[in-house]
Parts: sequence; structure tokens; C-alpha cells
Amino acid sequence: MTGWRHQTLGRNIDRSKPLRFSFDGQDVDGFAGDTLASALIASGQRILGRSFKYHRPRGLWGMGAEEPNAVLDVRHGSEHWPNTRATLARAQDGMTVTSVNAWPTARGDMFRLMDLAHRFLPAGFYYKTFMALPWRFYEPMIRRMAGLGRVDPSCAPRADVAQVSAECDVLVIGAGPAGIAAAKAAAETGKRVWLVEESSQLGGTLRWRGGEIGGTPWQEFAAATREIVLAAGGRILTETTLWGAFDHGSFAAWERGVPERHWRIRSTRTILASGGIERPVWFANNDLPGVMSAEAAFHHLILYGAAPGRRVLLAMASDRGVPVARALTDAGVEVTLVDARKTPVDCGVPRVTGRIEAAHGRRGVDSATVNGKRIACDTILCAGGTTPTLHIWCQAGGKLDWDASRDMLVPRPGTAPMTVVGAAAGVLDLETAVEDGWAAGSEIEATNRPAPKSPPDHVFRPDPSLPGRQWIDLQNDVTLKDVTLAAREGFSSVEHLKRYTTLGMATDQGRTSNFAGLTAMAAVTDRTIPATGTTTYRPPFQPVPLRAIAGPARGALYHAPKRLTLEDMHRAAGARFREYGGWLRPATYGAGDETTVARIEAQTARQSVGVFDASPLGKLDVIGPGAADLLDFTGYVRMSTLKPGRARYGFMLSETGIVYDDGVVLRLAEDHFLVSTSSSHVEGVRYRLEDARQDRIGRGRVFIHDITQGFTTLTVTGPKAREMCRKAGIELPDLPHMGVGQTSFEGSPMRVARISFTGDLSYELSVPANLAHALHDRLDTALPEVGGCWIGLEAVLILRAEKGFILIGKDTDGATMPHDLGWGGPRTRREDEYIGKRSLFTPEAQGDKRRQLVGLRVRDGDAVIATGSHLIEDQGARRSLGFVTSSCFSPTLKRPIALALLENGRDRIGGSVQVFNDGEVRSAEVTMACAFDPKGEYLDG
Amino acid sequence: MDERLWTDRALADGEAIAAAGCRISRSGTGHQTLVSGDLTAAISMLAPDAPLLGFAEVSDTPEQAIRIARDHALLVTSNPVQEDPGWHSAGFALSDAGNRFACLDLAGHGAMDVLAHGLASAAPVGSPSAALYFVGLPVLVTGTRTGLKLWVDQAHLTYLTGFIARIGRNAGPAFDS
Amino acid sequence: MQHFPCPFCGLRNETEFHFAVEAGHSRPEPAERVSDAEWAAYLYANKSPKGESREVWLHLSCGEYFILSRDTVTRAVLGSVTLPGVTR
Repeated sequence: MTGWRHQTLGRNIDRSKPLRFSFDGQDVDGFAGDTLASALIASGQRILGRSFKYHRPRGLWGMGAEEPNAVLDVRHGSEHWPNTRATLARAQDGMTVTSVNAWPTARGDMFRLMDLAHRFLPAGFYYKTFMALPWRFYEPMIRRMAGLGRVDPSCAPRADVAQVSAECDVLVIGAGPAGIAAAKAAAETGKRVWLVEESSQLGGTLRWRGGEIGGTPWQEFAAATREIVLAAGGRILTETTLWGAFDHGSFAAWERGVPERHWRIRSTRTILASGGIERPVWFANNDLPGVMSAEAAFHHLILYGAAPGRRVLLAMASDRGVPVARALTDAGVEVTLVDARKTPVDCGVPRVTGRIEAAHGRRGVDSATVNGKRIACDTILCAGGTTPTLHIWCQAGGKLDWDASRDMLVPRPGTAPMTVVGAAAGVLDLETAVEDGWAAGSEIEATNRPAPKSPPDHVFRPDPSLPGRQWIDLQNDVTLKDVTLAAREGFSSVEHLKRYTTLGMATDQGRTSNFAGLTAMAAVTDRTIPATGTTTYRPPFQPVPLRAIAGPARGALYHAPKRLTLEDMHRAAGARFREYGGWLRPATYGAGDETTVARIEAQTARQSVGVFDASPLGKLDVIGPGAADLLDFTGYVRMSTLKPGRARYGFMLSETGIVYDDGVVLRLAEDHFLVSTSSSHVEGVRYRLEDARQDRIGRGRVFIHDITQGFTTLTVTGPKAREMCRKAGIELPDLPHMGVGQTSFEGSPMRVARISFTGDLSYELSVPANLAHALHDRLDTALPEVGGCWIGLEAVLILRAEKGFILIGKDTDGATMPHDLGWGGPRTRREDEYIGKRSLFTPEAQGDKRRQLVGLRVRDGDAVIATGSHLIEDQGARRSLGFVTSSCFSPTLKRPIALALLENGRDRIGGSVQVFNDGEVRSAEVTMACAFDPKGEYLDG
Repeated sequence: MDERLWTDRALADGEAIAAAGCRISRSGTGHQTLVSGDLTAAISMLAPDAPLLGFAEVSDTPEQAIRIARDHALLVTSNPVQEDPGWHSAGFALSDAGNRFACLDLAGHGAMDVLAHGLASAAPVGSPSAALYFVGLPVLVTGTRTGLKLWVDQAHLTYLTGFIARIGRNAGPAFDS
Repeated sequence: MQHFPCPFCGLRNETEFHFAVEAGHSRPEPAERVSDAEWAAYLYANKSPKGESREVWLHLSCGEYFILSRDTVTRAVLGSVTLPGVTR
């Protein structure tokens, strides 16, 4: 037990609201306002987890997203958050918190003996081991041991994170002193400012260091800023992580509070005031619990009254550590400064000149070696310097320069579209940071001030000459020896160093390790820091749960299909629905085995009449003097020769000659066509027509209107179709097959098209959606009178398959050309230009091994051929000659039927081919695609 | 999700959803006609009092021409237009759009906020076209004196209803601050 | 999230757009006089420049095809113009 709770300090906690949670089975007491980290520290809990590889005990290091060790599994009620950073999680009463990568507890981890084998487990050891046996012997064990935390599949993440887009004039990232000054200045010029802060409060380091801004206490300045920003129409987001900089001034931010929201913000101007992170100091066993960032100790003491220990060594090389020491001393902690500067300044706190060489202790710090001598202590605080937080700058393409006088990598001005101020720009002096923030917010040029004259007196670097193991990356357990190992093995580029040692690849993204790794590699390979370079920064700035980006898109809200106007009527009739081509449509009606029901429906339709909802079929009005020209150019079958009142089946090809869509075109007038498209291709066809319209035919000569969803189409098909319509009180115009006309229904015009997808006499009746229910009622009443029934898509698919009518994408694939389907006429005859024409005469298109549409007939029983079966020769080497595209049992012919694409298919009609599926082979006769009524005698009823 | 279990349904006439400072209900759509070409000629012939509206442009007249593209608009009228579908020598094409669009009325100061919950980036205020993508669906957005109107292909109404109901549940109390 | 300027509708986010083709390729005609190599080049050969690129894009919301100039490295948008034949 080392940490303890101060009696009075703790600005953020409410001592009148105590709470309790459990950690690794033990009760921990805290207060409202505590984070899990502050409550654990104050309760004296020091071992918060075990390291990734060596299972060494680990304690709290930091105070925010840079925390590498205190990664915990948190449960509260029915919610579960694996891998939560203790520094960013609010403590709540009743939480169950467990350590990760340790069993049964962090304190008493069974795998702690792994550390004894550390010599055999350096960086990249797995590239040189696990070779004696096949990998499958090692993989299960390694999977169990690797990673931190576990996902609990029984806890489904909520689907309620709102996804909100927003716009602002000025985006200020970070609400420390520089950021607050910038926000206030910008708001005072009337700009809409969005100020985004990761922690729950404005103020940054001022919250524990204190200070004044422009002569006023910082709290007053912050409050005034809030007022002015809101008054100018801006917004302040706290507990919000701005995690990504994207193109054209777009940013993503995750608001972690209640309600949880995910923001997409577009800003005209951006100011980055993201502060800096304290660097560690490197010595042997610098990973022991009790070694902590000095700034973090300061933060926890003032904000939460959580003191890390009672006998503290504070390693430092600048005056920044002094206020930390003073605050701890005032709180009753015994502090000794270990100042590495050759000429340190006296500040009233006991001091030793020199450096820490090693920390000692079994489960936590109990002493340290300083200048060769052992000193008892329970906590070692490190003030190793500051690394500017520049992830967002780099994500936006910004470059970094090495500033030796500050011992930092700082932004190179002009390399990213944002202004950087404060510690993020390497400016640690409060007054200067505020001035720069103010200038940025007011869009004034910052006063040019000279860089510090000389480099710092002392800079901390990892020292390879020190005996013992020094940790560089705490979360991935990477030591200084691993860096020298990587260099020795030739992995000296920083990108290789990163991937070979995994340094910087943990969830803290190298915040406390990248700089050390870079400087160590530079030293080992005798290069300068700029020459060694940095790795690439990519979003997210901090791990973001997928639920925060997925938002509400789950279940019914994930890519939902389109819905029919008559859906309720179909449901009432007992329809079972399925998605077809992006629409939810009736598959079959009524109870019972679906395949059987579909066959009975198809049979009824062939024998008397069936009615189905054909509304999803695309309907594109093509209107204008250039309409015929447009369709002639974009279609494979010429439509300019079609007479008004008639319909014609055609195809749309791609310029590669591949069939893109098929459909019937109706001509309503000289300059008015109605193009029907496959239900899934409406937009695709429309955009292709628009392409030709705008880029060739002339946008003033022809226009395309999508009226698909304006009308409900019910198709009445079967020998009794006319009788049925008469009984339903519908006066059908006298139409030839493939004719289109109009009649009246309930006082409105109803289009009637005599087009057949089933091979039987068939009428497509189209009414505006507000008359759909009335039409449905009429037909529904008449159906039983003729012995007909509603039929679903499954039955329709059987009927069309009997006729050899194709479905694009099912009976055609990415190589199918129109002549493969038996439609070679236009290819031979057309002399005018049309899309795809040239491609129909390439060597490939004219080849003699093309896969052509055929039918298949089996004579070995009623078993249906499996769709997708490959077709192979009777003898010789097995090679796929094609595959089965559609297959079902034909109730009309009382046998299985199938369609297939077969190499040289048409020449093989009358012969046989083998059908191969899943190891089984059947013999099939190759037939014409149309199995039923090839002469079309049933079309007249 | 098993596709056979779709049981959600569209917002019905008379029903309303409350969502973050806004009341969402079905709105009447009148008669819908699509016109392309010389929009001025088309409007003067078919609905002379109809204003041509861009994104979120406010109009409370029953006759409106909602602009979709440079030369394409949806005409909404109380009565069916007098001209037949097809090409008109005045320089425009006309189609009867039947009941293609359903309309949701978003009434309240939170209307633009509700919109922000479904857009991939900030609303294109000032755009001459009222067409954009909301929750991945192509919609038209016009303005009313009390808020906005969303016009959407009616096959999408069920999804849109579900999504807006979810927005209403997610948006917290501090949303309008 | 990029933002592209549709010549009519103005600035819209990238999800409303669809890349059509590299600009500047004329369709070789008539088919009878086009060699296999010429046709293949029309279909598949692209300059794919590193830097400034002229491209045909489609704005899905309004259905307009237009020319967009942009930098393929920095992703900066350099401008957009209508296809020929647009009067207003």
C-alpha cells in the first residue's frame, strides 16, 4: 500500500457522494468525480495489471490517453467495456473492474514466471521459434496468451451513438491555456468557434498548476471564454476525443459522455492546441509500479487528492518539476529531487545532483540507486521533458522539424492547413502560449520571437551503458536492448524498428515510447534525429469503439430493403417475405414447405391464373425528340423502329460488350418511351442513359424521369387472365402480345401492358400507388371465382425458368455477351453505332469456346440439379466447361429443369454433359434453354 | 437479421415522432409531376404560382416546384396538371410521377438538428438543388415556416421512419444548447 | 471526407459523387475502322497522373456529369466545369 487520499485536496471529487467498486475482487472506495485511476491510487492499490509479454507487475504511469499500463476490463450492470483506460473512465458505484493479462489477479498472476524466461523472449523472438512442430500446435496456446482483455460475446454493444455532422468557422482542438485564449479571441471577432477538449474540464494543466491568463485567474478566463463562444453561436465539447483529421477540413470527434455522440465536423480554420505529453526517464526496472509521470502525480494530487506515496524521488532536468515537488511537500509527502543538471537551481526542496540508475523492488518500488548509492523510496516521479502531441498535425499531412534547442520535434510551418499553438508547438511558457493562442484566434501574425539561445542543460536519453533492463514501450514490453537488437539485425529504419519490436504499436500508440525509440535508434546507428525520422501517424488518435462509428445502423436499420406499397395486403394474405434485388417481396403465400407451395402456385398460374406484385421493376420515362436516338445508342436492340403502342425486349450492354441489363421498352408516342429495368438496376441504367444523354445525344433533346415508385404494378398471368380481369370489373383494351394501352380504373388512367415473363397470357396493370389497395381488392375478390391465387416470386422464378427467360446476374455473368444468349441478330445486322458494338468483334468475342445459354435435362429421377454445379466432359481431364445458373422442379413438365452457361453450348444441344457437384457426378442432356412451349402458343391464353 | 422477420412499418397518417426539438409527421404530397428541360416554360404552363425551390428554401404555397437538378424538378400541385405526359414543344418533358414521393414534415426548431443526424457532412445551405443524401437515401429537402419537409421515395419510408425514431431516442436533453 | 463542387448544386460531400472516367478520351468510331489495340486503349489505358488530374465525375443527387480537376497526391480540389453543351 503506497497511495493515499489527502484529507482536503481534490477539486474534482465530491466527498459527500462516496462510491464503491471492486477491482480484482477487492472493494475499492472512492467518491463521485473520481476516475478509476484516481480511486485506485488513493486506495493504495498499486499493481493494476501485468505486462504484455513478461507478465511483470505494472502500476499507473500517467493521467490521460497516454496511459500505457492501467488498461482494465470494466463492467457495470449489463454493459461491458473491455480495455478501458483507467485514467479516462469515471468511477461509478457498483462497477466490477478486473485487470487484463493476469490470472487470477494482477497481484497474484500465475504467469509471472514468464519474466524469468526473458532472455528467450526478446523482440521478434517468434520469428525465430515455433518451428519444430507445425504451427497448428502453437497457435491455440499463443492465441490464448496474446492480447489484452477479452470480448464478451453476450454483451451486445448499444446501437445508439448518434452520428451528427456539423460545421464551424474555427475549430480549436484542446482547451488548455493556448486553446482557451484562441477560442475566446476568435469568438470575439464573431466567429462560430467549436472548442473540443478530451478531458471533462477546460483548463488543461492550469487545473493543477494554477496560473493567470491576461491578469485574471484562469477559472474566470475559462468561464468568460465559455460565455463568449456560446454567445457567438459556437459550441464547447468536453469529454470529446478529436480522433482524426481528414480531407478538406473535415474532422471526426467522439463525444464520450451522456449522450454519447460521434461528430463529423467541417471547419474553415483549425487551431491545434493539443498540448504535450511528459517524457519518462530511463533507468533499470523503470517499469515497476510506483514509477510515474511527475505531471500525472501533480494532476492526481490536486484534482482528486490522490497521492502516489509518501517517500518520493523526483527525477528532473528543468524547473518544470519544481512546482510538483512543492505541491507534494505541502501535502505532506517527503520529496527528494534528483536533478540531472550540472548547474541546478536551488528551490527549497531537498536535492541530489545526479541521476537514477535503477529502481528496485519485487512488486513495486521500494528503493532506487542514485549515483551508485541506494536510497529508500516508494515512488519515483519522472519529469523527463515534454513531447508535443502532434498526431492531428501529422494526420493532416504536416511535417516535423527537429528543434535541438527545445529538444523536441515541432511542427514545420506551412505543411498542414492548421495553426499550432502552446505546448503542441513546443512553447511551454504560459504567457507565450496564451499570446500565441490569442494571435491565432484573432488571425494576427504571432510576434516573431527568437528561439532559445542554447540547448537545454541536460536532456534525458536512454543510456545503453547502464546495466539492467530499461523499458522503452511499457504496453508492448519493449526494452532498450530490443532497440539495439533490431539495429543489429538490420531493422534500423524507424518503420522497421516499429514493426520488428512492436514499439509504438500498442493501444497507447507510442505516446511515451516513440521518442525514446527514435532517439535510441538514432544513437545506435549514429544518425541524427531528423535523419532517423518518425513513423506515419494514422487515425484514430485514440482507440475508438466501433459502436461509436456504426451508430444506429444495426438490425432493421442496417441496409434495409425497399418496401412495397401493398406489403400489408400481402402479409394479410399470408405472404412470407424475402429480399429480392433490394426489395422485400413475397416469396410464397401461406403455410407449408416453401418449395412445395411455390410449385403449387406455379401450377395454378399455368392452369388458371396467378397474380403477383411486379412493382419493383424499374420504370424510366425517356422523353424528347432525341429519345429514339438515345435508346438506339444505349441499347443493343434498336427501338427507333418500334411503333407507338408496342413493346420490345432488349438489352443494355457495357462498352466491353458484356450484358448489363435486360428489359422491355414500351413506346407510348413518337418521342416518349418507357424503359423497364431489372429491379436492382434502376439507378444504374438511369445513370448510363444520362451519360449518353449529356455527353452525346444532347441534354436538351431528351430527358429521363424515374417513375418506378410512383406506380404499383400487379401482373395477372395465366390462360384465364382475361376472364379474371373481366370478373374484377377491369375493362382491358384489345392488345396484341407485346402491346401497351390504357384503360380507366376508379376514374384514373391505368396502363395495361401485355408482356409475359411467364410464357402465359399476361397483363401488367399499373396504377398510382394511392389506387393500389383498390386494385388489389378488386383482383383479390375475383381470384377465387376463376380458381386462381396470389403467387410469390418463387413461383414466378419457376415459370420464367420453364421458358428459359434469363435473370441478369444469375443466368449471365461478367463475361456474357448477347450472342451467348442466342441474341446474335443485332450484332450481325446493325450498322449504326451503339454502346458495346466494337467489343462484340474482338478475338475474345468471336472465339469458339464461349459459354452459351442452354437447358439441361436429367433422366435419373426427380432430384433437382444443384445450382452452381460445374459442367465437365464425359472423358478426359476434368475442366469446368461452365456451370448451372438456374435449377428447379417444373410442375408443368413434371421433371427437373435447369439453365446453364456451357462452352459451345448451342453446338452441343442434343448431346450430353456431366454435371459435377461436391464430388457427385450426374449425366445431363443438353437442350434448348426454353423447356416449355418454345413456339409461344400459350401467350394467347 | 433474418430477412423474414421484417416487421417494422412506415409512419402512418396521423402518427407523429418527437425527436430533439422537432415533431415529425406524414405530410400530404398533392399531385406529383416530374418536369425536365425549360423549367420556366413548364412551370408557367402547369403551375404558374409555384416557386422553384432549392435546398431548404421556405415556401408555404400548396403549389411548389422542387428543384432536383439544373433542368429537372418535381412539381407538387393540389390538382392534377392539365397537360399530358410526354414531350411538349414549349421545350419540356412531363411525366406523371404518381405517388413516387412520400413526405415527412419536421416541425420545430430542431428540424435542422434532426437533419444533421443523417448527413455525412454539414447541410448544403444555399444549394440551388433540394436533392441530397440523408441516411444514405436520396431525398429532397424543402423548408416550411415551422421547419423542413423531407421528400423520399415511398419504398424507403419504413427505413426512414425507423431511423428518425432512433434519432429521437438517442438525442439527449442537452442537444439544443 | 472530401468535398467536391458540383457545377450546379455547389459544394457537397464525396458520398454524393461517383467517379466515372478519366477526362479527355474520345470514343473511337466507327467500330468497323477501329483496331483492337485502339479499342483496348480506349477501354483500359489511363494516364493515372500523379498530381493534377482531369476526371469526369457524376453527382448522384442531381444526375449531372461534369469535369473535376483535382490533385491525386494532395487530394486538393482544383475546380470543376460542366460538360460542353450546358447553356445555363
